[in-house]
Amino acid sequence: MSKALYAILALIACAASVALVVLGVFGSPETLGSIRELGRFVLLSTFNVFSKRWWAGSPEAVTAVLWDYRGIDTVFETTVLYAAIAGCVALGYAGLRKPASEGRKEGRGLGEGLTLVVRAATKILFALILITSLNVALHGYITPGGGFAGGSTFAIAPLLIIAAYSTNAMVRRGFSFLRSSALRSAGLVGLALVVLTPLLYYGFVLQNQAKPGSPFPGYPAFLGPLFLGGSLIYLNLAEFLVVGMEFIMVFILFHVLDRVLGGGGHGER
Amino acid sequence: MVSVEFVLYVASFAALFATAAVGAYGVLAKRNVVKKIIALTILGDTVNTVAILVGFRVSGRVAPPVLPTLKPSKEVLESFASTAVDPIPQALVITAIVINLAVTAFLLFLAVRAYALYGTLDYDEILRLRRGEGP
Amino acid sequence: MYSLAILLYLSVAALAASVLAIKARDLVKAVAFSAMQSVAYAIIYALLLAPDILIVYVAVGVGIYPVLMLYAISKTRRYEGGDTVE
Repeated sequence: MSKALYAILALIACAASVALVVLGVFGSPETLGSIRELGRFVLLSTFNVFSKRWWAGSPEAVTAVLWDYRGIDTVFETTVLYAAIAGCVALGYAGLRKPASEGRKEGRGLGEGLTLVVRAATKILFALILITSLNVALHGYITPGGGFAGGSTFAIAPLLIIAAYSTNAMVRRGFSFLRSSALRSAGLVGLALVVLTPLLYYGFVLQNQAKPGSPFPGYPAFLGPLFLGGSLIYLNLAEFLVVGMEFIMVFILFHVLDRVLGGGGHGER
Repeated sequence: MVSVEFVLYVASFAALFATAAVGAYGVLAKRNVVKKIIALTILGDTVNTVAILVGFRVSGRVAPPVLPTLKPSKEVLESFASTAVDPIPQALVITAIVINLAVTAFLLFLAVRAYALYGTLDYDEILRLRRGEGP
Repeated sequence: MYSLAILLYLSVAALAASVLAIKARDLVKAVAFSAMQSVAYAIIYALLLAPDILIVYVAVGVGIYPVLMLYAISKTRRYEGGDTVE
């Protein structure tokens, strides 16, 4: 009975949404080919070398909006990610201290896992993924990419190692929980430094280039022959470290999660 | 009358909203907790796609919001601002994707712990056990 | 105009995949259908000229989400509503 009610509610919502679109809330037939005024302002001013009053020093408009025009949104998003991972650590931290309960299930050594071909291919792929993700993260102010894209692409690499070897092998090779946590904290400290440095000059928080009314001269956009996009390159690198390491922490925590309640989960393999 | 492009545009919106309705139905009406989480990810991703579709430019010449040169002239800048897609919804959607990922990872942790504690992943069953009525 | 037609086709394919994902009783199949829907959305992002989101969404929607959900399914039950599938 209630399932029919849900279906009718869903149908009403769908029809109402279509009516909203037709009535012009999302754009009418006359304005199909144009965008909103704020978007046009961002596009005009993001790399405007002629009038540097509001420019962001980066030809990539999306990264400029993420870290310059709406930078505080991104800082709080990093905080939300941090809080979620803190919750996961709170749920599973006891499992990191307990030793492995049954030696058979947990003690897969370095030689176990999938076949030799898969393991050899994984070694090559790991290096390639690392270089690609670092490239995507560091070039975030010239080409599409940025900190989050680089961090998410980097997270595929430890996943391959977990699948081909085992989580214990990855931990023993050096991706332990403590080390990833330390690297993540280093990334967060770097982020805080870049965000708060303009305050030393009595400028604005998270200021990228020189703005009217602030004595901070801005991070350099062109340093001799190099093109650094202001503060965007440092912010992207810090965010790459934070996101990549947080994913490794989540994978390790998921592996030790069933040690917490005394091995109570009788799951299916 | 309206053009073919407008009809196709509205039809895409209708399909996306229908997917969102399916996701909402899955969150409310299914009893398994993992199925609820899958439906939640479907709902979140569909709403993100709607946001990007709003910022799209339905005209002849469109370009991605990336300036292709480091030494632009005034004409290049003007044509860039007239043909590029809106960059603001894209930045907000990147934020939304990462936040949904964080919340989903935490919810999956909670689901695994709930199964270890109650022995079942049926939501109504868990509510009954918490109220102390028994199965 | 052709890009809008492809957009409509991809949206309908995503709708079909999500309906199949909600109706599946085997949770591993539901995860597979959800990954199909993520692929359809990734192609939509490429069609709508959003390359930044495409990179994030392919890594997250096709790589991280199914892995996390398969982790969770392997530690709990596989079939919804009991251990047998009808």
